[in-house]
Amino acid sequence: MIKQLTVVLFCHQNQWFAFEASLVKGQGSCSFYDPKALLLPFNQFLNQSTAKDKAQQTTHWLRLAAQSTDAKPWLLGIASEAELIELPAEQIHTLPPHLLARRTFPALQAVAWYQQRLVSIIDARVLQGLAHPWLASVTPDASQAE
Amino acid sequence: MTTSQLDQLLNERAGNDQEIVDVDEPVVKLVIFRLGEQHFAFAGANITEVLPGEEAVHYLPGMPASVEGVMNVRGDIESVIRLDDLLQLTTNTNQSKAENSTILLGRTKAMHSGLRVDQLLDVVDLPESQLKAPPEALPEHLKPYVTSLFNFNNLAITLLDLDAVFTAWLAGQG
Repeated sequence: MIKQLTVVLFCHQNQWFAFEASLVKGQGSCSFYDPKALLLPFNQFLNQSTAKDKAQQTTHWLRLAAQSTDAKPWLLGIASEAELIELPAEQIHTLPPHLLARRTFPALQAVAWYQQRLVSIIDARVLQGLAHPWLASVTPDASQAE
Repeated sequence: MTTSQLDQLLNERAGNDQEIVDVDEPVVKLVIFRLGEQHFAFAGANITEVLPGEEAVHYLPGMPASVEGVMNVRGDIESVIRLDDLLQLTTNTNQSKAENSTILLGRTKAMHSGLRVDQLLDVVDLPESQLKAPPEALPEHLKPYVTSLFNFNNLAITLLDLDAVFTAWLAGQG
């Protein structure tokens, strides 16, 4: 029986999010990243961003595990440095079925309590899928221009 | 053996006992509350708990606007939703939350969730005879949810069917 889950925790616009650590391959500062990779701000997935947000609030990136070898390389832009933590299994909860049914962010998979804060656990595999339309429509050069 | 007068009297009394009619009216337990400027009620059978409005509700990103967030109820996750949009009410959310608001934990076969109401007025046992059928003039958007109307302390109260409310919410309304 799983007693704890290692996750990559980060804060974005005063909200806490986490990915299962096995699905995150690296992190870094936006001052240094592979210019060949597209940087997709996390806001973009939450449908909360404006162009100004993208510029101001992405300070770090996460590289998620790629689902297929032919996928374009991309990085997830986040607003703070991520940390690796252990979440006790009893603090992790599936979303109630009615919230799963009504969620507007399909990658939202579960929630957890950590230090009396709510952590939204994001399914990195679903996020990869959500990135595909943007990856298909945006060239690396266009991304750099933003 | 001949029947004595006492036997006859006792028999008559026994017969009278059997004819006693229960005059207690059937009653229904109702949870009466205010949402915006209007007053509503749910059947008490659908409300499992009443929690103070100050309970910590944590915002959950990626949810429709009617989801205020989730709360920790004895270690379990419970959503808190508002019905203002579904019932087409206009409410000053911030003001109502700060003052007298309450969270009702509602449960039906379809789902269970906390419901933010602006003020809990009372929990009463009301004779069923006081429930009146909703009028034809009831606003169209309320008709799917309203089962009856009644008066309480000179207030017109609209009794809502929580099952219908939750079913509509699950279907994407509100």
